[in-house]
Amino acid sequence: MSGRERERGNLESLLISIAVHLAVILLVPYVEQPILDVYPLDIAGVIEIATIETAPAASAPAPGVTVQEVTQKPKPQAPEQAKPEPVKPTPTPAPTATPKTEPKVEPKVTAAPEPARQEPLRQEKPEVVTSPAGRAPAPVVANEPPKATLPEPEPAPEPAAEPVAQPQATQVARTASSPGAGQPDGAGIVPRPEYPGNDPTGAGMMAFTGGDRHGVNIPKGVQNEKGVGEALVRIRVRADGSIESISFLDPPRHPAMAQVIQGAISTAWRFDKDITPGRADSYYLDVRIQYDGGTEDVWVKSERASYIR
Amino acid sequence: MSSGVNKRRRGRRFAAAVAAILCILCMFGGGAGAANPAPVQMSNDFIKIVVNPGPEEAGRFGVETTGGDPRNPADDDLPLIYGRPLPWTSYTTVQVDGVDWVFGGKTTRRAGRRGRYGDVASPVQVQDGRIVCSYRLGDLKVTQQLSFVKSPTTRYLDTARIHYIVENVGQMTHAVGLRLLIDTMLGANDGAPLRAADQAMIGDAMLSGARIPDYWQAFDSLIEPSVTSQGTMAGGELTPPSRVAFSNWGMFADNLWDAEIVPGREFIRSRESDLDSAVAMYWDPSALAPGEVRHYVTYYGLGGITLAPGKLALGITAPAEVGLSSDGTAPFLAVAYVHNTGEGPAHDLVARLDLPSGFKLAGGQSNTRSIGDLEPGQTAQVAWQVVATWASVGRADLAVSVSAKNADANAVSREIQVLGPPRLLASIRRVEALQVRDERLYPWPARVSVRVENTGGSDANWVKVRLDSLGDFALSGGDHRELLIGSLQPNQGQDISWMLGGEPRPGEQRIVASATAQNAAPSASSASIQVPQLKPRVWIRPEKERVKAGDIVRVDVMLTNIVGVDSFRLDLSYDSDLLGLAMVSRGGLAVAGKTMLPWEEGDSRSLPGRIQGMAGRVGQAGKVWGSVATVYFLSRQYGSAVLSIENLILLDASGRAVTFPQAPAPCTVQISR
Repeated sequence: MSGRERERGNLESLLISIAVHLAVILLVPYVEQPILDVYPLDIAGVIEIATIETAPAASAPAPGVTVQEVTQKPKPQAPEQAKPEPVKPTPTPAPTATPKTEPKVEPKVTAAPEPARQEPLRQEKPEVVTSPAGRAPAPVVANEPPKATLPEPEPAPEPAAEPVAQPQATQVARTASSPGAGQPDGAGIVPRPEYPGNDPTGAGMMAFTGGDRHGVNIPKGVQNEKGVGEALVRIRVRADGSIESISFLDPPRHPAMAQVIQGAISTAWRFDKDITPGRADSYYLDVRIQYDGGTEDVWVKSERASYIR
Repeated sequence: MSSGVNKRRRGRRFAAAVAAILCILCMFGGGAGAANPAPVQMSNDFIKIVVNPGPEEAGRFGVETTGGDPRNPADDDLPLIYGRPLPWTSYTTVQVDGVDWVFGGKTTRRAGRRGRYGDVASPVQVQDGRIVCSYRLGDLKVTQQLSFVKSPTTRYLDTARIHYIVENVGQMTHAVGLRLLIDTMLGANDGAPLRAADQAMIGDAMLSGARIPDYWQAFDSLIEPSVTSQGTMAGGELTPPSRVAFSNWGMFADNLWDAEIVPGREFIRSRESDLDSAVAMYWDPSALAPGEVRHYVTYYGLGGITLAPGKLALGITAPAEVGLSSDGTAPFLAVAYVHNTGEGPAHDLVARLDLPSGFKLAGGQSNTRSIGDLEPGQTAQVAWQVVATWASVGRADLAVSVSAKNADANAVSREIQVLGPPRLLASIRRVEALQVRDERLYPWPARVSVRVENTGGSDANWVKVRLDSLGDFALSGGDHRELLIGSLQPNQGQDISWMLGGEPRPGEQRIVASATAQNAAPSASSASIQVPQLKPRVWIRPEKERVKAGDIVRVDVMLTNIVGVDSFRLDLSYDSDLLGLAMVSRGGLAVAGKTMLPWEEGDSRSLPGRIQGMAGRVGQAGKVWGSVATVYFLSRQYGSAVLSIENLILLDASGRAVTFPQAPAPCTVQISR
């Protein structure tokens, strides 16, 4: 094969390669990948570790952070002669006839991008619980103590009328039928919800004053160019439901839309008060707004709700 | 070696396949691009008319400048109506029995979204210098025609003529109205104030009846106007609206017919925050009978203001040309604009209009008007309704001056040409003379041509030509007695032809044609036509009068112009030495539609040279014209072969004999060698 032929062959190969690449680019449909939000630690804020004895030092964590609150590891009611493992002394109620539970605190903190999806961690080694997903504080349920340490089996535990007085090993569970947060029903623990309301998206915390009308009217100029776009808005809402501030995490590509969106949120949207018992606090909602100027369609979707730390 | 060649071939095939795929993709790409088709447009040196071809928002139009005002380099390539590249914000509502239909293609955007939409009857296309499209809206056929027209203010072709033709093609009368929304735009300014007569509209307003001025204008600055637009609503061929509303575009976009007009409310676009002025012209509903056609015409384009700079900048606008109507008058509107360009307020401004001879002010007006004080940067306007009379024909100057207590006076004048009234002349130019051929009138149908001319000094508008009298004739071919010509310019004429048919009685028939116009006296013309008499006959019609020996000779036995014949019976004799009978067949009169009526070919064998008892029924009612039998002979030798009808009996439906004055005449066929 002469050099000329080889050169020609190389050229053909190059052309074929370009054509194949172009075909792949044009033919393979683009599938939008799910967005993975990764929050930096400075947004995540303080990760709280609360012992069973202490109340949280601050309110809810930032979004995307799973806070596992440390609770007592259920301990069997040890016989008096049995030595507890005083990992960390905790304030205990006045001694009673029943033996005290010696809590063992083994904090463990994990961070997850989607707090809504987190599952309560299994209580294994560390006595760590996950903050309930927007539910009312969980009831205090006694764990069955390890048999090895139980001198004799105890009857099935019942919710203690006086939990403080009977600080058996507790665990925050996800059921919602028990006493509310901050109520002195769980050995002094105040379980912290991550978001207001009962929906991690915050959809239940907002409504439009005009019923279904969100008030986001696509301006004439955007309709003229049949502009399509979206915006992600962060609305800071005070505990009383009033708007503290509106900011764009992801501004629309049509500046006129930003004004319209802000105007609509200010005038046509209303937000619920945070009525979490004993925990009413400011919160924010991240709302995605998509629009199509060619059809006048606007989609509003609340994506995340969280407390402001 | 061969494997290398094969590889190369395979490679080439692969490359070809990939190239084909890419070509297909490119084609699809092109198809996607075709989803946004280019606008249909027409342009001249002054303006451009742009129409959305659809399918969405098809028919919606815009107007832009190209060169604009030749004296103003700042007004080139600017929009006068919002919506680039495809207009969509200005739309037309046709209200039918209270239901609001939107003319054109559907929309998914704000303007007219909630209306009913019809079906396209004719897509957007350029036709004879116009951009035309039609839609069926229920029982109506609505056509939109957009074209250039000479502005009455500037005398340039810088104005769009907007013409809607609404025809009731249904069987019921409907209450039909029309609203035309113009989303005005002055270059980049979508919220320019609008000026009508002596009102500067910076907020909502509604004018109706006599308060509707001939035109409204919009300009950004009186000192250095970038562009001046003008909507002309009355005068000439225009159809004055019942009312005109000025409001923000959003109100009209959301409301297909009546919009909430809050006098004085700023032109801030509803549901938004920008200034956005718009004008809606209403022609309120009125009954439209089946077959009736209604026209709505209005103008939108560039305006013309003659300016005089100064501390008190002064401008005057008026038509550059007016034509007297048939009563010898021409009312028009003259508007003066005064702008204080100084640094302090001007006090006690007074404007004065000086009219040349032949002009007068309409009743109750004064030449002098007090404006009062004018703050710096403010513009005031004063309007006068002026009437031109016969004595004003020709060129003249309208002069306006303004004076103030504390500022220098200023004056400006504007030339106006007054044209004589239009004069129509209708004349019947040609009537075809009728004669009898083959026992019929010829030529048939007969043509009559009418010429209409405008011999006056100005345009004749909405000229119609009508055949007032047809005599006994009837129009054939679905012609209408009345035709709309439109406008006729001075010294322009047009010929119109009608085809006359029917069953006219013999003798003189009188035809009368007339022409009318909106602004001219009617004219009429008449002519006579002699209609020859058609006699009832039974006769033999040879196909050819001369044949050669050996040829087939075909003859028809004809019954013509005989009234009331139901059946016939006859003998046909012929020269059997020269002709040999070949065949006898049924004639057209013995067939009614698709039905063969009773018919007998007769006895051709009993007697040589005679077909006896040829008989049958006739399928035509009234006056018959046609053959009852067709007979074929073979010509045997040369000579003159005579054929004749004998023993003829014609009966009517009740069995009575039908008589007629003339006995059947014999027929001769010449057979040559």
